[in-house]
Amino acid sequence: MQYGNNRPNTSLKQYMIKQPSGPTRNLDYSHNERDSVVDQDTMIRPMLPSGHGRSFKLFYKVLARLPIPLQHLLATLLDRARDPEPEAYDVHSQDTLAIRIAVWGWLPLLAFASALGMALIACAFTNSRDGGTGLRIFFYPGLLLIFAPTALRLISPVPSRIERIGLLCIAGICCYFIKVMGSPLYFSFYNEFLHWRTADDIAGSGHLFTQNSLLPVSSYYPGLEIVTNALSALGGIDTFNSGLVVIGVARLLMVLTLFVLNEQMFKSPRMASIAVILYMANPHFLLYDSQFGYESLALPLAVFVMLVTASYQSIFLRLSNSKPYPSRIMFPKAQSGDLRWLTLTTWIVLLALTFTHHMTDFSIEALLIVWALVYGFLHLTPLHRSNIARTALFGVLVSVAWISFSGNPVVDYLSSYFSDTLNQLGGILAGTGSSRQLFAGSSSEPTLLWERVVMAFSVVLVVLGLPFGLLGIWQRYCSNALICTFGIISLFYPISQVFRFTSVGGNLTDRAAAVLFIPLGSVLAIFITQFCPTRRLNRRQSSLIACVISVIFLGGSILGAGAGLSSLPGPYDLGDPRAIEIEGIQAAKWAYSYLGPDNRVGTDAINQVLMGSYGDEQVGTPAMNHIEIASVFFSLRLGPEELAILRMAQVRYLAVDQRLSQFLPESGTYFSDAEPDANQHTTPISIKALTKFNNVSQINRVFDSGNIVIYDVRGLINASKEY
Amino acid sequence: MRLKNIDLLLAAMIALMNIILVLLPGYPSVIGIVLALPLVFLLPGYTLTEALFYKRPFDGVYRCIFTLGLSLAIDILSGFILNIFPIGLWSTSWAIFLGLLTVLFSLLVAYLRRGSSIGGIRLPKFGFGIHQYILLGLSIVVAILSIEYSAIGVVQQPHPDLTQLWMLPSTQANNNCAIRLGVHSFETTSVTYQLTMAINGVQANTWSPVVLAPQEEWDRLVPIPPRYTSGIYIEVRLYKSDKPRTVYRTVHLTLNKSGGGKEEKCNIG
Repeated sequence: MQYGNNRPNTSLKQYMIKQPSGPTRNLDYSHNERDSVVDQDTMIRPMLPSGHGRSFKLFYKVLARLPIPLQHLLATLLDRARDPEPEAYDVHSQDTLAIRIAVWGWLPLLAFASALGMALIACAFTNSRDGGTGLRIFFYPGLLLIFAPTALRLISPVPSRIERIGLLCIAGICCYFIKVMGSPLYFSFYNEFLHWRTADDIAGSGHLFTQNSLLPVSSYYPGLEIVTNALSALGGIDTFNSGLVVIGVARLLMVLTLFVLNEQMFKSPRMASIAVILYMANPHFLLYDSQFGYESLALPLAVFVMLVTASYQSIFLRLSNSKPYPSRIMFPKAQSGDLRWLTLTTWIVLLALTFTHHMTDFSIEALLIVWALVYGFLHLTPLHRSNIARTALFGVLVSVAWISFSGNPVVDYLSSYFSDTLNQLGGILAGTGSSRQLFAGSSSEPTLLWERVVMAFSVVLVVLGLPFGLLGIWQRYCSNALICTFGIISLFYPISQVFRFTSVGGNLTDRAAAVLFIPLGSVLAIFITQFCPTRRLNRRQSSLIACVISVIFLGGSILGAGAGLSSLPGPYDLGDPRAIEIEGIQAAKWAYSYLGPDNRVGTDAINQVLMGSYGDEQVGTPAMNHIEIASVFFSLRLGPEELAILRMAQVRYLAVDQRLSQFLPESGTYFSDAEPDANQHTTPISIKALTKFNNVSQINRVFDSGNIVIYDVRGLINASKEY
Repeated sequence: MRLKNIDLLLAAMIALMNIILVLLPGYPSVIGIVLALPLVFLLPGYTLTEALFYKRPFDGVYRCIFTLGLSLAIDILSGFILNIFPIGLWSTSWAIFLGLLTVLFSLLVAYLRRGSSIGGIRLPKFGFGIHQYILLGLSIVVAILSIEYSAIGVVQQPHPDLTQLWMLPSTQANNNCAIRLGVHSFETTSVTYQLTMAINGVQANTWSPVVLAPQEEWDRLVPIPPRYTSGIYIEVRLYKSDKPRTVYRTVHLTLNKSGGGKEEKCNIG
């Protein structure tokens, strides 16, 4: 295919004259070529729609009025976007051999480079824990050593499929090990404690749905904790080690499933590997989705559902068309009887997903609905006969049934979260609220300027690449329902960025990215392969693309690591994981040993998770009893209002961490979003407010470890109200 | 026939070994984890995949995905099923349920495979050269050492002076008030402490210096003299021997006696 090479100076008009009916070019495609483009969930049509119809003629007419240089540019862009064989590669015989047979190529070498990257990161973490300044010096080179050579290799057309899969698995697992190295002996992320509590409740009672005062909704989505419990019970290991293995397996499944899904869509291992490496650049891949949290397990299950549904569509259409099979599909000898088993497989996993994570479940159902609508719009199958529609309906019904399950608090939980975010956004738009400084945080360690630039660049590069990817879809994949669906969903990425201006919404944007990068990775992979076809690819271009992907990855990782890399190990700071340290853990263990479990303890957010997990106490979160006790800690005196709050919440002990008077909270809140001046703190809590309990005669100071003091307030709340 | 179903035999054997193992008291955790890993992550999914798609040759990566994905899904749904029964989610119930499921699926696959030439898992051929093996081996070693180094870093992470002082009310056999007093050192070296106790502002007790090694704990049950009846305010102060004038930790509590005679109780006030 020489088509894309010889038209550098063609204006749009000339281009149209040369290509009076652009799509007719598609008629010249060989049969195999059409297969490679559109055979997944696509009915093969005689012509692709690009350049067709009145609307397209009008489009070209409008464009023809543009200045000639712009026309040249547009012509080149369109030319590239509709390149039917961007993957065509003029290879030497040795390379051809490398592609044909399953060789491992550079995999051992790059595995060693990744291991060296891990070693550098281990040095970074140890240095940072010791109070040194070497975190950035070792961490960034280590991270790039794991990622950049792999990205460079995957862009090359030479590696075999098995090498690509191996490289992706190594990169994915190494990224997971970075999180493990951050806290190799105990859980250290806030969310991990929430799920640890559920897992321990299951291990202790042998049953599901025990009350979790840290995160009530977690008890109703116990998929992760069930698998952890199974391994922990059978293997005789603790929840922490069992959780590490479960999340590691989930990570492996995520990489493999995403690769195969993209491979099915594009029929190209190279495009699939580029899509997966781009997915790894999402801000939550490095740390958040490596933690012991329900999303880490739910995401691979969600992609699995997509994969099996896509396989069903592919086989269904192949059987309908009696078309020959390409060399690598899931079931080369599939028969119609297999379709029902594929549906059964999808539904089993979808059911498991429903019980694992609410937001991932809702997201996948939204995607299935859009996919079904696109499928109907393309007139591939009547909507009521579409398997995608049936699967979406099944998913929605199961989700609704589960939401309606007695006691499931998910609606309240999510609605309060989203309403807070939308209210803040509304306030900013109306001018009544102030917007947050972008790509900065309230950590005691500032985010460096270059880090903020890289973070901004990572977002901008993705947003800039998106239109070109969409152009590629329009020109080349517009009859593939799943790719079109991905194109539509990827549009939510730029929209989601507006939430970065809110103090609570930045987290929402990054959380959304974990899901949105699944389609975004594919769309950007289309952009890269269509606009940098392999036959034009030289070392400089490959390096440039690898650099750009690495910048996106680095920016995403810095975003995910929090302001001033505060989510990585280091000296104490008021946020997870650095605030999870020996004093808090030992105080919680003391509470469990000497006060016993299930006491109601009022304390700050960090000590809540420690008291709720290590201490097995009932922590006074507003989620538990809708009583906000934070104002008791903020008030300079213990007056009747504070006393009434303590009585209503039936608090028995107060655990006061005096370090709250030295640091601003990284998350914006000391206790919860309902506290006074939440997300707007400019100074730490007054030490007077924290030590006021010392001078109240009916409060007993029963524990003192220097920073953490535990007060017994039973005497006070049981005393007469005339106090 | 046997060779054709060697994968199923292996699966059933591992499943049965898991069941036997959980019934044995005090098995080594290494054996437990080695047997549990395939039962949780591989066998249910593998055997179900084989049962559903036994006629179709699978690509290795697809097989791996289906095995892992379906195993995880089966585990989750199994948890819900076990929760319905009083037996709950314990090691025995997990081993029996997942084990029987695996055996059941294996028998089904063996039945479906009868008379068929297809079957059995084909082990992947890696085809590495010696240099590649060395590099991969080195990679694994470096990765393990990196994680180990991080773990050592966590253990040896310097932390500020940490000593816990605590005091809780207690009741003696003769219903007299008492307190339980404890000191737990998490300092990096041995530390000598001095403890003082005052009741209602009057010095009541001083202990001889207490020397605690790191992680060592000291605790005492201290009876309160019966002459104190109500509103007993007890304050305990801890000093470090190198700074005898600076209070290092302090706790206090107020005790009240309620009832009378044999019913007398010591309450926190």
